[in-house]
Amino acid sequence: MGGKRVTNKRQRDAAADQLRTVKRERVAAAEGADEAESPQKQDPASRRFIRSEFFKLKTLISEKKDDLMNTDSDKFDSILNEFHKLHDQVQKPREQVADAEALLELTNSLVMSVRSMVNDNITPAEFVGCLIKEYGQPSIQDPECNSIDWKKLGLAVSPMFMKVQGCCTMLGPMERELKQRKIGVQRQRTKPTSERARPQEVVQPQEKERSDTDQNMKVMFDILAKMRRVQLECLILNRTSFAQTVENLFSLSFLVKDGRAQITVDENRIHYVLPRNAPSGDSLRAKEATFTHFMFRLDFQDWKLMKDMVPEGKELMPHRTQFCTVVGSQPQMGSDDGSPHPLTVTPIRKFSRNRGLVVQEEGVVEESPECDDEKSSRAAAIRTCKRKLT
Amino acid sequence: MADPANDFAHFGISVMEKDKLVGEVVRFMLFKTHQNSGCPVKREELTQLVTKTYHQRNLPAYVINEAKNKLSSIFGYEMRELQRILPSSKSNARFSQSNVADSKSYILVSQLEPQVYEKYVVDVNAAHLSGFTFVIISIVYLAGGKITEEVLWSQMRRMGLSEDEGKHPVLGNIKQTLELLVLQRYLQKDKVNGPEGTTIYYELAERALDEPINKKIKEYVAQIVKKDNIS
Repeated sequence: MGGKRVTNKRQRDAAADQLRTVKRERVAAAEGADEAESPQKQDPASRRFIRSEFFKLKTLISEKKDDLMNTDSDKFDSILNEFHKLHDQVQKPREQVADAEALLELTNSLVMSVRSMVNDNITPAEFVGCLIKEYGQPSIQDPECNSIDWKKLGLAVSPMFMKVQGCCTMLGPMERELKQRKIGVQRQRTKPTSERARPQEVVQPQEKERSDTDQNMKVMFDILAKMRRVQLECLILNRTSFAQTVENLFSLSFLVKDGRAQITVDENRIHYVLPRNAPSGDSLRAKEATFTHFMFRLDFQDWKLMKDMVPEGKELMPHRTQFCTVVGSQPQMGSDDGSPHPLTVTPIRKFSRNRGLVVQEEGVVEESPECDDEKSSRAAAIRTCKRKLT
Repeated sequence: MADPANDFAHFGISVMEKDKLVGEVVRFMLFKTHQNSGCPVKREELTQLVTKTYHQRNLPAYVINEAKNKLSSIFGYEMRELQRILPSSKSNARFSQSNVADSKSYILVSQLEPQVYEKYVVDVNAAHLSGFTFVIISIVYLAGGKITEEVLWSQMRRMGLSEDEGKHPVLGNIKQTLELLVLQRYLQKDKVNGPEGTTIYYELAERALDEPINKKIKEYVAQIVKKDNIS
């Protein structure tokens, strides 16, 4: 080992000396060129030959890179001798550039050789061999192939990197910009209230939406039919989902519009929902029954208040995690619809009760011809809706 | 240390505004480091956090320095600046064209003592990546700082790492894991057009050439080889 190192050092010193010799010769050549009054002109063929020889040397340096980096090889000396021979013939700038480029390539190889020598002549192959001995283990996939215990090795060398984990966040990726919530006027938090209004036009919902809503309406009506009288908040509240609360309210609005549900208010201003039989077409045409809509203000804050108002477990509508099959109550409803006796009684009672409630709550303007047109269009819409229901 | 209020009064902003900007830079560094698995964060990105609202000259540099102080005092992290280096074959040609501002980036490094770090902080679940990083950097280092892709893969195959293999049980896709080292600026790839066609070289990049890491590579390599020679 010591002898080898001394040999390497001597070789490096020799190389350095040769480089200095090359520099001195170049300076001498320059002086010689200045002194010559009429230099001998080289023909283009000779110049081309010199440049091609330098290019060959450059290629040789690239190809024999491993040999050059091996300190035991004499390639370096032989290539340097070739440089000497060619350099004596250089006179023109183009040949000087080729000379310089080739020498640069040789110098780079020397630098890499010296740099690798700093490691006490350890080669990557030796290092990998030592790694396999130190941290090797049989590979699970291929018993013949070596593998490294990467975790064990990593734990040993982690202090070398001192890596920092950073932080992750629930807000999501960095590229996605967090939307700023609009700062609006503070809304007044009031109890949910209902008031009556007549929209000018009833928009037909999409088929799929109606289908889902119809399903929800059936569920809600079954609950009403079973319990007969429920508090409004208990009926529409979904404690875990504001969206489903809104959906329940949507279903209730259709039941009220169809005349199959009634909303009343008692002396304590508490709203109740009661089931009702839908009036017949004849009653509608005879103006014995009228339809009403309600306007209901509900936002996220109201939903929170509603959760406080309704006791735990008192919600009536099921949480819709997936589409659930509902036991059909069609025969019962059919019989109800088919029976003429209740229909003759229900419109009168409903009519008088509604009128009474309306009078008690707020003043209603007397019907006008425009209202007649509105009622006709609404009746047509309801007929269309019923036809689609069938 | 100068009074921060006076320093930022020079730019015409209040202490509250200064704290907000510094907080944004700190937050960006922490989240970006985690999101990009430790890849350096460009200085340009940090500068834009400031210049999108404020246009005073030199204010971004001030805010970045304040962020460095915060990360050091609160988290114990050093926000180290890296100066991007070019592959050796391109360093001469492109030197005049490179923009200094575009070549600066930052990484976070723990400032703990190595013994304390090893005892309390090392992430066991990510240690295998540290092992892989060390091995690859050491191979390139022992090859003189530059190695052909072919030679590198031949050494990796000896350790059971194959570019054809679908998934390594510990390291996953080896090609991607190697590419991660390039993104993290431990390595850089260099395509050289030579007489035999295009050759791809891997060279040590600025993080591997950083003085603390470079020094420890020598220690660990010598340690492993010496241990083996003894046994």
